[in-house]
Amino acid sequence: MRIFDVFSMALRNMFKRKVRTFLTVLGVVIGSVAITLMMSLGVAVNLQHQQQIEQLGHRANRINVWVDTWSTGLNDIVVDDDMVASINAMPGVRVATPIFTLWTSLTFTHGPYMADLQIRGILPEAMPYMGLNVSEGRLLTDDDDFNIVFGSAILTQFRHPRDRWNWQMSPWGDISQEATLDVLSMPIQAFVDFGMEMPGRPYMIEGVGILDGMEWEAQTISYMTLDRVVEIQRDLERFLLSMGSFWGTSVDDGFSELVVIAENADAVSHVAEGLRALGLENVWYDMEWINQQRESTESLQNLLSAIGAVALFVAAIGIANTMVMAIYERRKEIGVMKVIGASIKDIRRLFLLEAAMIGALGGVLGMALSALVSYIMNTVGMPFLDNLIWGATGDVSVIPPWLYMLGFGFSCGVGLISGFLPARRATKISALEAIRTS
Amino acid sequence: MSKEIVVELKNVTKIYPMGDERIVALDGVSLQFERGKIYCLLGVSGSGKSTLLNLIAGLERPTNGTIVFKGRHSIDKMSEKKLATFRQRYVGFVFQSYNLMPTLTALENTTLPLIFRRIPKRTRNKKAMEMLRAVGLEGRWRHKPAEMSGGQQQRVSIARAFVNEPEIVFADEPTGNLDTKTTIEMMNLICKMAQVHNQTLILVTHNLELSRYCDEVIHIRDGKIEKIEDVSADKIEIA
Repeated sequence: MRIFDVFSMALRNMFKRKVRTFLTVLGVVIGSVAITLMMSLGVAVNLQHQQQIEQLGHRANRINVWVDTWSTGLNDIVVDDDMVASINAMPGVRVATPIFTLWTSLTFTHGPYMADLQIRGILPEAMPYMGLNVSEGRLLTDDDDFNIVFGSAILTQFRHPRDRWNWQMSPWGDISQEATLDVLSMPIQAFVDFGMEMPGRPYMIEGVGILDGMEWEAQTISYMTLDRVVEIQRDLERFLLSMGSFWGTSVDDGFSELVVIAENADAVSHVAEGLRALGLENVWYDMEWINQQRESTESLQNLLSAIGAVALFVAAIGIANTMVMAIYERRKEIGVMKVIGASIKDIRRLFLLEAAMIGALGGVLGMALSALVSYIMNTVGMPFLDNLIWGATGDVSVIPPWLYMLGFGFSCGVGLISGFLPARRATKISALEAIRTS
Repeated sequence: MSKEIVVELKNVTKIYPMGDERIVALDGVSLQFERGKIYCLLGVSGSGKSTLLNLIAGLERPTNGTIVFKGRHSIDKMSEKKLATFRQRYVGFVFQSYNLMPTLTALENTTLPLIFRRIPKRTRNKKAMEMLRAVGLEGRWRHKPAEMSGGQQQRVSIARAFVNEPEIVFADEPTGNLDTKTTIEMMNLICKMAQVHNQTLILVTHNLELSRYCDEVIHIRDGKIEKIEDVSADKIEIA
């Protein structure tokens, strides 16, 4: 038989028993709608996660580690340069840097103006991955000496001494005069401000860039290379020691803060595990709560998908039952077809195609219905998603093209598979059935 | 005209196991069927006549012996696939209960053997219309079996049996469900069509009346050939 003839005959057989075909197709429709919708909920949830990760931006890859350098104990971890180097060598780590904040602010003088700046020491190569970009100049490099990248609010931090005691009350006050400042054109004198004059050198510090952005890390904090900040800290510690007023832990007791940047958002939790395995206890990352949320919704998704799968399985049984009935009904017809020249292949294809078409029809109708139900859920079903994900916005159910194709393919596949055994049975019916008079 | 053997049975035996017993349906039958002749297998129910027909048509396999088609092919040794091709090419079948496909029209039922032979639609429809014209159902080609009388259904069945120009046509009690007047019409039709194309017709019946249309009557009793009568002298002439 030509395939078109098989098709047209199977189609006719299918519509011979309209009610039975309708009910069987209905089973497939319900099954395919169930599995498609259940999966569409999962797709929507994943989409939400993706959006959340995108909203995190560079923070999605970031892990913060705090180390207790104050209390002393047997198992204390000292985060020194060696440990930083070994963390940098861990798989999945793009870059790890200590964040060393100078104990006190540095007072910068520029002409008649002064500014008290909070200074952080950092490994220059980590800067781009922490969301630090410059609006002017450049970021730090490994070759920098007493160079500084200012926070974006630097111009408002320089004050005329006569205004000095007012600035806390109006931190973003009048900047008309500061607009004339050019902090990148020449070295600036800086003093350690510790409430008393520290003898020795004022540091000559040259600005190389001004950060861009409104995040707190880019706004009021200025950055220098780790080595130089540690050097200034040592000067300070020496001075305090000589004054007999040094207390607390020294920079030599290790760094108290680390930022570790993972290669991607997926590697973050793995890297965090590695850090915890090193004995670091205070490991925090934004991805953690997103991952936890995903885990809790995943089990719900699996449950829903299982329900869908059961529905589709029941539909498969429905198709198989219909085909067995159809074959039982048409024993004689099958016999006659064999007598007048139908091959086994013809008979098999005839029944297999009928089953597949029931599946396909159910699939097409199922996908149309899925689209409709999905639309309704998205317009009136928002409260449902609120229970799944806190603070979720957007669609409850998302059916991308691949899911439509998958749902349709599932239905056709279910038809084919459940038609396979009945079709085999049909081929085994003897041609003698045709002779038997009922 | 030289004698051409279409089918030859050589010492064919068919035994059905029935529980512990063995029913001997055919017992060492040897027969020859010639091209263009009309045969009548006559016997009471259970005599083995239907079994004989099933064996020749390749619907069943003999327990012993062999059946040779056109001196070359052994029907009893063919695979299922070969048998399907064999039936497509060389065999036509007329059943007692017509056995038309209920979902197909008269035309489609007639074309069915050609559909299995993968003949393109245009060719097979043309051929089938010719056959329907020959059986007098030209105007009813669009009708489905349920919309036709028994006689009309049997005409479609006859058209279907002859549409692929077979070498042998089997008719198993073709008039069993028909009244006398229609029986005569059907017999005329079948015999005429077989004659036109010089085809072999094997008629299975228990109705002695039908033997008047035949060249030879083969009497079967208890699985054995009782006698073979040449009745061609008394044969009814068909217009």
